[in-house]
Amino acid sequence: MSRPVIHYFPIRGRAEVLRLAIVAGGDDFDVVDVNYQEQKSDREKYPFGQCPRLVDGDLNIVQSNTIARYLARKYKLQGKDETEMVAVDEIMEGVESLRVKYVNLIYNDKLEEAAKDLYWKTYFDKTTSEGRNGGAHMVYLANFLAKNGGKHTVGAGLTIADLCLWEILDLHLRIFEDAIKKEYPELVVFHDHIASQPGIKEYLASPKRLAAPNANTLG
Amino acid sequence: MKLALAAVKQDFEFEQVEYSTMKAHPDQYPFGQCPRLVDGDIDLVQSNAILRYLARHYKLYGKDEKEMGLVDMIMEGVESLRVKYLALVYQEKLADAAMDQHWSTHCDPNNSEQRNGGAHLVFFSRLLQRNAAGAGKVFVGAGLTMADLCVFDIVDLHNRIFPDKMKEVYPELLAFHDHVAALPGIKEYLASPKRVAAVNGNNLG
Repeated sequence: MSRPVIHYFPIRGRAEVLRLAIVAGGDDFDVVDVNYQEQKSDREKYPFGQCPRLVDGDLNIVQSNTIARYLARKYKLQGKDETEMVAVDEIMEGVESLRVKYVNLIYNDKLEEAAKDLYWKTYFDKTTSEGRNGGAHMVYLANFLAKNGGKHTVGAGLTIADLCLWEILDLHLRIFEDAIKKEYPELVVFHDHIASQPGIKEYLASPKRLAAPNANTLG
Repeated sequence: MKLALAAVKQDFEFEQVEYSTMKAHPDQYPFGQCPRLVDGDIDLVQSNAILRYLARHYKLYGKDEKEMGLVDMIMEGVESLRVKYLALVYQEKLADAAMDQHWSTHCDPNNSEQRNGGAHLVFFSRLLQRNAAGAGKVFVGAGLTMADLCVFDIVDLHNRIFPDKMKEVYPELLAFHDHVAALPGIKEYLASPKRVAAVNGNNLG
């Protein structure tokens, strides 16, 4: 199998799940820091003017969730049958909804206190899950894990859904650590379990695991 | 979703969702949202997960890994633009200034290298032209895929609110739109009462 190349900014951002998928699959990746001008003007390489971009053999792929699904198929992390595949997709979409809210909190609200409080209330507080939240709420994701026995979100083994949940959880643990430990202890257990999986464990300790989650040094 | 089922001539049933049920039944609505599809023992929410399930089930996902990646990529691009469209309809309520801003940022080909969150109609125009095998009729390979139905839908929505500009600036997307609209199955569906009149929840657009 060819070694994939990730073209992205030097942050975790939307490429982190992709890095996790590759190492979880027992493979390694190369990194190229994206050239912003090229990203905006080269339509062949960047059809939507955005990164991450993955080059793997003769495949050139953009759109982080497309790349995630491609890597899931490549490394057998997509679920073993139709029932599992659709559950994986559902969870990925649910994580995406929450990610959009997170990105807004970081880049638009700049992690201001009042915004953080409202954010927790709307997207994490278990008593508000029937409110209007655009389908973004950590308890929805926690429910998938609970219904499936607590170790994995889908089926009996690791899938890309686990990695997506792990990653979004990891980002939130950095800014709401005490509250999450108190409200979602089962998710903290899940986080630790996934972090110790072969491939992932080594990656997290390596210099390839970048220090900056976001481009504006917040979070 | 309905377009996909129409395209493969699969009939479907429809149930109007009860908002309070949706919010209070996480077993059926794990994210408190609809649409929800029930098909045999598949019970699914998340519109794009449903579309991918239908694409696999009805062979609208491309013929190999490369085509699958392209279908996924185009679906994501449509999703980005759909989010901007929804903001225009539900938050800005199609106010004139917002309409101008939406066209300028997400539709005007002169502005496509600006910051737009990856949401711009011209990206689809280029992707259509890039697919030589499709001859302007399909986005991926030589046959219909879910990518075509997603682009059809977002072009259709924009055509309703920017009819003159679309005609002037994106004739190739409109030609594509008309080609899809005339396909067997889809043609009948679009003329049927199952094609509901209300596009959005607030009667705009």
